[in-house]
Amino acid sequence: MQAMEVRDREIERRLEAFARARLSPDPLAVARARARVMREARLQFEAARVAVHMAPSVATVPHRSTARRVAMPLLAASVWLAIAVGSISAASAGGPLFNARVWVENVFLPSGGVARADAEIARLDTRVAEAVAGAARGDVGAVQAALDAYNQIADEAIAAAAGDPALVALVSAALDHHRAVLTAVAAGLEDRGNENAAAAVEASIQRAIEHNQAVVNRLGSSGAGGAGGVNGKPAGGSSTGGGGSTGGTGGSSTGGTGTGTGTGGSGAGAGTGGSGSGAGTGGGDHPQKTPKPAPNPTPKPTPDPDPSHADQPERSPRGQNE
Amino acid sequence: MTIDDAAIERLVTDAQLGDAWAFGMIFDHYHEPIYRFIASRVHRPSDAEDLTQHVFVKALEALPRYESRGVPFGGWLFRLARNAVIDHVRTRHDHAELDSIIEWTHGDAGPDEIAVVRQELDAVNAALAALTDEQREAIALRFFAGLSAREAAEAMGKQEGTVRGLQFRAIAALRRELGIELDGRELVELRPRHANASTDG
Repeated sequence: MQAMEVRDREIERRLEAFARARLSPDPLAVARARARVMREARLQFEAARVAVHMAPSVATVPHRSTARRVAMPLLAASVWLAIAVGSISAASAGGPLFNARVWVENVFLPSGGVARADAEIARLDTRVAEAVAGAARGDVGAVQAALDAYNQIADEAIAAAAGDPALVALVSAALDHHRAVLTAVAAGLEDRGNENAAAAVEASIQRAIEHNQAVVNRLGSSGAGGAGGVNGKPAGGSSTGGGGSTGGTGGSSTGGTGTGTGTGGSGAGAGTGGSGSGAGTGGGDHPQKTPKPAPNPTPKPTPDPDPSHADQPERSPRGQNE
Repeated sequence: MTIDDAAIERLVTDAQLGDAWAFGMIFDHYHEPIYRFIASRVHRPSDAEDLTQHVFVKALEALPRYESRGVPFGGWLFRLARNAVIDHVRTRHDHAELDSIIEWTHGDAGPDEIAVVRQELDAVNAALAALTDEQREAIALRFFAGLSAREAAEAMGKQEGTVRGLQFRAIAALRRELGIELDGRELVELRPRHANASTDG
């Protein structure tokens, strides 16, 4: 019997060696599979949470047989309705799924480098566009939600770009541009009729501008000023971008092409088109008025530490002028 | 298996409540065993990778319906894997063979050692191919995936004793194929079982 056990161990050893050599997964394939499965898991768990959140009244139906017969189809319908409504409302800042949408965006970000910086800037553009669209509607909640998300994304963008002067410069230019847009919107709100809404929106925008300024200052103190010179950002260029972006935002909210023409200030070529990624935030059937640009939306220009770059055109944060 | 059954059940409960981290732990714990089982049953590593991923996605969908009721989670999960393999083989008109499975590494061994190891692996491969489907499945679940006899039985939809019998006969056949000889007394003990194993095939 002992001899048999020894031989069984020998068989086990050979089978284990066989499994190790020929049945072991490729570590890269495992990592890929894990990423896909976990993404699926997060989406599914998030959808389940939303479904529960959206149908609380159905979930509390008493346990009676007839009630259950009615409740189960209702519950199923509610889940589908929640998913449909959620998908639609997620497009708007301040909606119930707005945070989930921001989170999902975060999940699908590239892992690093220029691609990530570009993606972060695109998200920042979208948030600004949503804030501007919300301000045009007088929707304080939308502005608040969009700008809160904006602040958070700005911090993440800085963290992701840290250590790479070119990326820091890219993000810095985008933040300058956004500050110009928000400054213009805040100035324009002073002329609005609805004093309370305008004041609340303006307060949110001011907070975002201050946060933005703080982030830019942080960048500057960590050597980003020099990096800004790398991209050759001319002074005053951001005010032109601000006008362009404001116009572009109006375009995107009407479902148009999002083309924005820079109207204010100088700095040719900086009139970055409104962020196309913000399309749909205002709903196609509710064209937004283009927020009126301030007569002189030029914010205090960020000094360029390297005058030798003054003759170069400003690099659009998203590298586009749609 | 580094996590005990109670810990697995806790992770499963947490995952059922929407805890993605818990599901990640389940994935980490079961991925390699599931992959090994599937890779031993299908032609290509790429198919094994796809099927393994598919099994976890199916598990994610079916997780809310899983109830322990004394059924080990591993057995339940491997039943999903087994069904996935069966569907794959059926739809691809495929047969489970081990011939084309890639050999991953030989470590730092020299050419002679690699040749010896490869010869040994080929011998195991040929010996496995000589088993019946059920015997091979029992071996894959017990030795490649590391399941307990109870979990393997749950995965195969058989009694635990039946799985132990399949394993016993499979090991006897492997010994014979690999030239690990038995003495006369053991041959006498095994002869009736060997006859049964022949009828399995």
